[in-house]
Amino acid sequence: MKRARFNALVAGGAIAAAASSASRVLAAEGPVRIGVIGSLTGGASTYGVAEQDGIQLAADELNAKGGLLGRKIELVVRDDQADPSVATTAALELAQSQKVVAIFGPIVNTAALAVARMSDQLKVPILGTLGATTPVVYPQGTAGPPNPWVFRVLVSSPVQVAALVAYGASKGYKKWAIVYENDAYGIPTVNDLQAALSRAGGAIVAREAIAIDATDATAQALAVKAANPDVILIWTIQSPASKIVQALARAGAKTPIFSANAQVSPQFFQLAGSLANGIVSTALRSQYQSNARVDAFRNAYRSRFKIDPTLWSFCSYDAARLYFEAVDKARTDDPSAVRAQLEKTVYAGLTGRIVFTPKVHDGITAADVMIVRIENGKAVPA
Amino acid sequence: MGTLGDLIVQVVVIGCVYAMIAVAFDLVFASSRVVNFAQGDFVAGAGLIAAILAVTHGVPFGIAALAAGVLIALVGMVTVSALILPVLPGITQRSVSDLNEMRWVLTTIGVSVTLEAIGGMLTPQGAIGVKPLINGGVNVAGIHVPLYDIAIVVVAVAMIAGLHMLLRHTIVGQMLRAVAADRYGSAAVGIPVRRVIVATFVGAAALSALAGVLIVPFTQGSASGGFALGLAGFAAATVGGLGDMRGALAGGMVVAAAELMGARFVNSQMESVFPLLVMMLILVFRPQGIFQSGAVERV
Repeated sequence: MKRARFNALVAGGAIAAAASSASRVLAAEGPVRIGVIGSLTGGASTYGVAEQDGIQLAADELNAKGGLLGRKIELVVRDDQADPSVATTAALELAQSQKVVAIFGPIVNTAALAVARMSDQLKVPILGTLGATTPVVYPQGTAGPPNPWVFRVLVSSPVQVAALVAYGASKGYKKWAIVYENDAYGIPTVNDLQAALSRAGGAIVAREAIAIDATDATAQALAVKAANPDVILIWTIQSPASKIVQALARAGAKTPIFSANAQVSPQFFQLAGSLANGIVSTALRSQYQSNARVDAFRNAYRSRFKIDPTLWSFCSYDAARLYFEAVDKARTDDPSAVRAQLEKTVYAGLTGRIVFTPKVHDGITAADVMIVRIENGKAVPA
Repeated sequence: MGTLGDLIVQVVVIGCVYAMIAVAFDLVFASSRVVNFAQGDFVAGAGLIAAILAVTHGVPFGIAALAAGVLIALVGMVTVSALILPVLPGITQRSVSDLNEMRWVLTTIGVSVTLEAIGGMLTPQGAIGVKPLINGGVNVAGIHVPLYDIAIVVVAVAMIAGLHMLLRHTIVGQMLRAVAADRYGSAAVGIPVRRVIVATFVGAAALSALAGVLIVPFTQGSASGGFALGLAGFAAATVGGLGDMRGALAGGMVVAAAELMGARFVNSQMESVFPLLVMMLILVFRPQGIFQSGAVERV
């Protein structure tokens, strides 16, 4: 009896193994499964949802035309709640259990950094609007090689800061104060500012950190005011940024404020109210363009998601479409082959001309970016 | 005086906020020796509920605040009845000989995590801004003091004074002091210990809710502020003497001063660390709190 049961178990196990490997073979011909890690809840959700929507629109459009390599594109979405540990768990699950061939996101810097650091384990291209700081794409700084698996389509912090510093220099601003988020998103920006100022001329007279869940920004606002800067640069997401702006107003500071493009969003306008007016930031040139392609995208996005596309929507749509083009050119969705193809990307996107090479994995350059000013709930070219 | 005056005003206001949260910790700890790790989330949760009702659904703020208070008090009721009392030694027959006296640590942390997760799901667009009910301010010696800040200080002081009167001059207060001094002895003389613990828990939840809706114009309705608030409130309670409400205001001021002055004059990157440093110093050198003389009476 025991022997028979043992044999039955072995036979059953063999059949199950054969069946699962058979289904894996079948799956290789099934839909193209792409993972998306988005910050769908929490403080960064306006960007995360925009990222997901951009990819969704691109995938739907291609599916309507017959799919990728003749197969349907299937998005497997996970919410990382803006938390790096949730993001890394999601990335492992997507790559190893769900067997996705690429991962888009995460958008929050700390999470993007954590997932990028695992790229050796994940072994799939990691693309999209991945956190704005340099270490996500270039772990050893811009002088070093990029992470081979990471391809970013987003206006990075250094590009934004350089544009803002150039604009500030044109206004004669020499003394800069920076209030930055006390984590992997904000801290590298101090270096970016230092580097930009050493080229354009100017100095940092105050640098204050603020926690992302800080209750109050009075100490930082008063320290900045005491340094008497020509301009204040704010580098954090909407909630703490609005608290800084309120504390500065309360302290009676009349200094012009420049900020990260994170503030160009309806949520910041709601939190900061009239205090948002006059804040200078950056945007993509294409957001203000009107041509057949951009208008078609805008209309499709609006009718599908009922809101206007934001900078993150533009970037993530381009990222998805250039990925599909790379898969098409490689004639396979095999992650390594697609990765190699991605390094030869020359893609005319909505955001501009995106070029990836073995040394350059960052898609958006200074030429794609322009200065805007917030006026009454809208960002207008400055 | 200028900006230093601004800083001092803010220290006082934030100190009062932390004091209100500290009082909630004190109440719960006094009656049950439990530190409710979800207390900060009760504060933030109440603010969030009020913000959602008032801003997203247009409910008048007073009603929204009331609804938030009721909901959070209910959460407190469920937490204490279903999750704390059953694992508290000496309360249920089952656990009277239980050697594990600290299960409430895990349950309150669990409540905290759950509340933050629910809050996150309720705010897909991130934090919700709430406008203060009172605008405008007064000028005191060149410092602009918003009227709303004065209101916060008034409410905090009134709350603590009111609690003080409750404890000293009512039967309920006497019962609470008895339970705080000796839970088992109180039970022996017929004081309804379970009911006292539930009452303090629910009362602390209601007080946290009051603090939460009061400060939501500054903290913004969000799920994630609770942990930081709870930590600061706990530090304030410890500095003032955990379980002793008389030290709450002073504890709050000390913690707020450490946080804001440290951020302003030492290093803003370590802002959230200063309150904890102060708390650790107190725990090492004067664990009963700066106002306790080491006497037996706890409340």
